Amino acid sequence: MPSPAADDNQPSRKPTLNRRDLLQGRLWKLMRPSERTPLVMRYPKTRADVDGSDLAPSSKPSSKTPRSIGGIAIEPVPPTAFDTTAPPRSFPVFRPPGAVAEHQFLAGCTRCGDCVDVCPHDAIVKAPDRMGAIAGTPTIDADANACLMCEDFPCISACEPGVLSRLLPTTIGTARVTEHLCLAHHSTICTVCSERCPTAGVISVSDGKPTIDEGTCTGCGVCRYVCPAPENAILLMPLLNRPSLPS
Amino acid sequence: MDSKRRGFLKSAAMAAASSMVLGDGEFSLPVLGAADAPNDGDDVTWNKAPCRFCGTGCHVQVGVHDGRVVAVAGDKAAEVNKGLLCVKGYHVGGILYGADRLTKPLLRKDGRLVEIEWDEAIDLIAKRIMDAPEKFAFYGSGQWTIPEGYAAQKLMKGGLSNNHIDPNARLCMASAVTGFLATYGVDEPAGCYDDLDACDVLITWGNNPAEMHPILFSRVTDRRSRGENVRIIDISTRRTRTTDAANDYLEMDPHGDVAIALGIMNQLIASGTYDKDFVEKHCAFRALESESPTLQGEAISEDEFRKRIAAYTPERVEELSGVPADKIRMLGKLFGDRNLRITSLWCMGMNQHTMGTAVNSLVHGVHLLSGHFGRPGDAPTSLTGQPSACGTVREVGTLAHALPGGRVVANPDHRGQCEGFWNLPAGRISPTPGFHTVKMFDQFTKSAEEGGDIDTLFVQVTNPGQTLPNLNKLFNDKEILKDKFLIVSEVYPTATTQLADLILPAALWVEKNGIYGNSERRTQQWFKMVDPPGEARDDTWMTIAIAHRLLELGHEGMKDKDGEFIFAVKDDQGEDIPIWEFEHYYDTNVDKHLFEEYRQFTTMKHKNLAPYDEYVKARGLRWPVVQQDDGSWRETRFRFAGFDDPFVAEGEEFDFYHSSSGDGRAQVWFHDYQPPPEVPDEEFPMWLCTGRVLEHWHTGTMTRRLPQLNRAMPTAYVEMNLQDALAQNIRQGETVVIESLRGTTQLPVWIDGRGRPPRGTIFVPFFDETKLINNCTLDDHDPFSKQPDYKKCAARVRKLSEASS
Amino acid sequence: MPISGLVITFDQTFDHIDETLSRLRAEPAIEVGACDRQQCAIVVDTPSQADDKKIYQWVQDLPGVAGIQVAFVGFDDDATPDSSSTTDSVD
Repeated sequence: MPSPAADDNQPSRKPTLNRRDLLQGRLWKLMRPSERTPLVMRYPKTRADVDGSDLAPSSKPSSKTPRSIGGIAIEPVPPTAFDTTAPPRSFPVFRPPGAVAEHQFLAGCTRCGDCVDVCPHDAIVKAPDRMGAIAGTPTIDADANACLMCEDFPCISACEPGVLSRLLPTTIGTARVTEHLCLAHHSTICTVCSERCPTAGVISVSDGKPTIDEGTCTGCGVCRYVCPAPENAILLMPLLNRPSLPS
Repeated sequence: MDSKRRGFLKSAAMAAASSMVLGDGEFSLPVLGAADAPNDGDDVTWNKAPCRFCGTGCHVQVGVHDGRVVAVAGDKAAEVNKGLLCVKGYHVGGILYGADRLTKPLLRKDGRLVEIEWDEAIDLIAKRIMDAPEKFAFYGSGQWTIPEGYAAQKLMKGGLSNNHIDPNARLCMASAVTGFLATYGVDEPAGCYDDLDACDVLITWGNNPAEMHPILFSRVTDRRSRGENVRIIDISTRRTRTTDAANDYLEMDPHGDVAIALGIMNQLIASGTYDKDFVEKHCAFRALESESPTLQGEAISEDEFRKRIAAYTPERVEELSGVPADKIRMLGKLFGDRNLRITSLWCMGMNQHTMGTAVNSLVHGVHLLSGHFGRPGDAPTSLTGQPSACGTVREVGTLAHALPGGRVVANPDHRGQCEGFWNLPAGRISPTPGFHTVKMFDQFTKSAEEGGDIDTLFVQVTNPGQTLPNLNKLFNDKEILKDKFLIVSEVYPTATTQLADLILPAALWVEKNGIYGNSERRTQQWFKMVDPPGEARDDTWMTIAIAHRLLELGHEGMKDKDGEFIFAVKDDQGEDIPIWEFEHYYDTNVDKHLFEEYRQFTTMKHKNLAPYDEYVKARGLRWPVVQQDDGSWRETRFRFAGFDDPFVAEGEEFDFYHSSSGDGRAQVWFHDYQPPPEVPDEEFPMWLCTGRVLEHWHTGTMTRRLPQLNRAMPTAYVEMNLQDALAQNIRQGETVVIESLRGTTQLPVWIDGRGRPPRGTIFVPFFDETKLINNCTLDDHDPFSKQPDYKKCAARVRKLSEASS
Repeated sequence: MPISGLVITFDQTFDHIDETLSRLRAEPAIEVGACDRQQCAIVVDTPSQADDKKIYQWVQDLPGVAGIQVAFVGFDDDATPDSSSTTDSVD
């Protein structure tokens, strides 16, 4: 029974770049894996760093029943602290599913917190005060808790002002694999993102390496949440230019 | 862009490109040169260490800042991993910093654990031993460093005249040892990882290196991406990540491997394609005695071998193994082709097997009979799961029947040699083998009235409360026995510490000096880089401190022939260095003293080791390491092969110089197929197989404390075939109850997940201490290796609603 | 305006590496650095990414070139802004 990998036994072709790669600066595509900068795992430098951050490992492996999506458990362990510096003044944020265009959202959202309260997975949180204009509005941070894309979207049902709407797509963003950080691209085996992705067919694995179909990806962030690479290899981008609702 | 910046960019570009043409700089050791280490600024010191986890033996670069491990990277100078690491390896530094590290000795008083001082703990242990030295047992592991295992071995066999010392490796690679001994007369693989770079065909026998030894597996798959042709044949009871990369997948029934190996030999003989020249010069034939069989067996003639093997035709093998007859013929043809280079890999699939010794011997036999042996790429190689299963357990011999350097307690010459090296009075070492693991825990969990004659058990660097088979019988029963005393040296609370009477906080990995020996005979040294937390201390120190307390209490065994303490270390003036006091333990390098003493033992079986300082300079050396005329030390890649092994006489092509037939020949074994001890029936209709996963190492006591790994693999699960699940109306993710005759556990179901078992088979990983699958597994074991079979027993899956009703 | 440091690996069976080297030296966008019989370091400096790609393909097609590895890539400061920078960001 030949596997897909069996077809790779031809002499390797010279690497090539297409125009899109060039425009996007993907010159690292030309590098063979052996030439990539090696991965380095960095740990907090002091005990205080650990205690002060959410990275502190839980005191004991949790024994409670894990939450699951599609039958595959996603245990809520503390988030990965990648950056303790203050966020820039201006940046895109992830809104809950079904959010209207950002200007309408900011205008219409009453900061009531109902969507935060009903989220069964604690994925929706209020933006903190340091975020200025958006403070108090609902956001999702996949590093802390990914959106699990509930079938019945209680967050949308709970939204009285209607800035979350069933009439709009529930996609909240899209994900991309950053190949030079991805373990599967560093001559080792890792298939976690494809195993945990809650949407069938979004992450495919070919020759051991994952590819995300940006067309069907919902941006839920489960892949980022579970990625075990030394530096998270999943780049999440919020949905840009969300549609407006007729007012 | 201004021209100055452009000029700078151009010179940087040229420098980068030129450095690649001119090659890398030299490495300075032991601290890595700045050029080799990741650039983290001047305040980070880099040093080398082998990874703490599996038996592959990858080297990592460890960055230390202000007494803390702050970074880990793959070590480019290491031949094993060439700068690469698996997902666990990148996180290995984090295992030191889990929030619940044990930092104080804890004694159970009236059911509660209370903090006590180290002096009290050591005193307590020594007094329990003094009361009944023969009822004391020491249980360790393949994670003992070489000096830790050696010190434990010397305390028990040389000091207490007590052979009740065994390691968890009994559960892990004991059958590999007996397979090597039966075939070559001496333990451990002849080949090495270089075979993976040279083979044309890689056969994985019930083995999933893609998840369990990922760096070794990628060494093969990377060759494909360089355009080389490597055919991977996966023989397994379920589809795994290894299957994903394989060209051929042969799905066998449990125990089918025995029949498959017999079938290949049948084809080699039937078609006359076996290597007549190699067999005539270098092999003899052997089988078990019909009455009271032994590991050595009895010689049989080639004709007798032909007669017996004739019964295992491809059709018969298909019946026994479930692998189609034409696939057996295909394997026979492959092995019949001397132009190919064939490497076989196996690990727990063939070792955790009630016919473990047999199937190990048979696969060696396939390679010997076909002559696929001893050329780079032609090798039967068993992998180990622990970082020093080879270095410590197999070479230091921390087993109930063994002595250091391949010796056994039953042999009077061997005992005499050890008493000589240790300067002990003659007769100190007991000739009777101690209790092997299953027996040791059986004795410990039985009351004295019922004949349970172990009452104090000291466990170091392992977690039997999670890994023993049939836990309800072999571990949990201890709880009710008040006169039993369990001492556990650990770094975190575990399933074992739950029943411990005394818990000792241990130093971990680079918090102490250490030496490991990996799967390819590579001995690897590292230095202590950071202090252990709180009052955690080295395992070697614990052993020496107990011995010294016994000496103070008047135990004669703690003295050698001249009345000196058996672990005495002298300074330049000939004065004792008080290494039994922890504040003086690092006044000298105790590891080095113990290693230099141990080295003397290694030459008898031609497993020669170099002096300690040679290992400081190297990323490990593969034994035998022999000094050259110019004073340098040379390692050996291919044992028994004339072109590389220094112990094969000039001009000889091969010499199996520890041959059990005494004539330089390896033994090609015949074993009849025997069915597994327990097979599914109407009541328990499923085969249950257990094993590991990529993200967690063994019982997860270390890896489960790493948030990234725990997110990636948060819980154990049961893999089920979709059709089986549909038939029982079980949904993806539903929690079900797994039951066997011996116990139960609850697990969520994963259908079509990472592993895909065929109908009638389920698989459960054992890393999750909250879901103990070893409540269900079988304690039946191989008759020679005493290794239990964790890979097959009969079980059933029930919906929660049915099970509770 | 990209600047890249590349390493050319030569085909070991090819006998006229010197000719290939002189063609490389003759190309104004390329600066040739350290060389031996197996490998050669070059820096490519071009006005646009399209030109960079052209040069890259040209080098790749030269006789005797078995492969190119990228050692370094430098980007211009005033590169075309990424279209994705118009986002839902808030101020």
